[in-house]
Amino acid sequence: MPIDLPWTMGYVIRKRMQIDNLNEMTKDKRPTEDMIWNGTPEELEKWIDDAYDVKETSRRDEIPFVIKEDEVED
Amino acid sequence: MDIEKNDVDLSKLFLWNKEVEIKDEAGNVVKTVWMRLVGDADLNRARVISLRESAKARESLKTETSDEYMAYIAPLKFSSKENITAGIKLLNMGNYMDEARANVITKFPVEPASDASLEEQEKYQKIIDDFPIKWEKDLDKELKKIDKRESSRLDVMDEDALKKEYVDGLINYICQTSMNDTFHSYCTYFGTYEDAKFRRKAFRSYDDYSNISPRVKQMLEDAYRDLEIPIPQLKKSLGATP
Repeated sequence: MPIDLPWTMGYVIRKRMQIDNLNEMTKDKRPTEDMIWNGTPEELEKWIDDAYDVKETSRRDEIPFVIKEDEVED
Repeated sequence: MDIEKNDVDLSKLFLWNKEVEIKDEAGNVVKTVWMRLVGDADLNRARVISLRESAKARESLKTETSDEYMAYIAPLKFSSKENITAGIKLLNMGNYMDEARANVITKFPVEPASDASLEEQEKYQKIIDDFPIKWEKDLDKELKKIDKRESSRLDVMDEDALKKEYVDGLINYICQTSMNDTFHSYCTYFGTYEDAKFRRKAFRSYDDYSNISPRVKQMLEDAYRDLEIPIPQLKKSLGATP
């Protein structure tokens, strides 16, 4: 039977994981404290996209398919 | 946002259930139930149901023939401009507070290095102790600024525009209240059990729960509220484990 954790613990665990993941970013790219604690998920996502220069037009579920000319066989 | 670092208490996170005695008006225990904080699944169910309730309330308030419209919206035509203006400000108080909180950037003191002298640590603790007072003062100043700006904005609006803003605000307020009440009611219903092992629900259905006396319902909902840790407190508890 799965353990039904109280939502408060679930929240703390998820937030902890989020912070650990954000700490994987280099210091100059990390979101501000205010963004982490008071920002909306959308704001945080935009921050990360900007930090890694992810273009708005590219969709998350798209896999870029790049054909390098020097790899094309004649 | 509460930015104190002093009263972080992680132990409360683990106090997530308790025994609740239901007492009659004379104070005699008539039944004992066990209550626990709901998990993510029930929390989400409560959220979805309360959103539907809020949508129902919104629709009624916008229908001119409904009882809700007659009770809350129709009397507006007898209100004076001053009353409507005061009403708008009152209804927007939460938004003003959010705006003020977002605008107030009181720089949090930099923590001394781990090998800092005792005196440096004492100084830092003093700043931490005084921080909430300074922050509240800044917040109060910002709120006054927003109030002045809003007074000027509302003063130049004509009565129809004022009425529209008041009605929109009132509908949002009533729907928000309806959503919060329903959400809390459902969480209490989902989290109340007959046994200490949390296997048998205390109520067979939400209707059964709704039909209990308002006094007992209030007692149960207060007990549930007491178990909950508000999100700002949860955020503070995380600060203790960098």
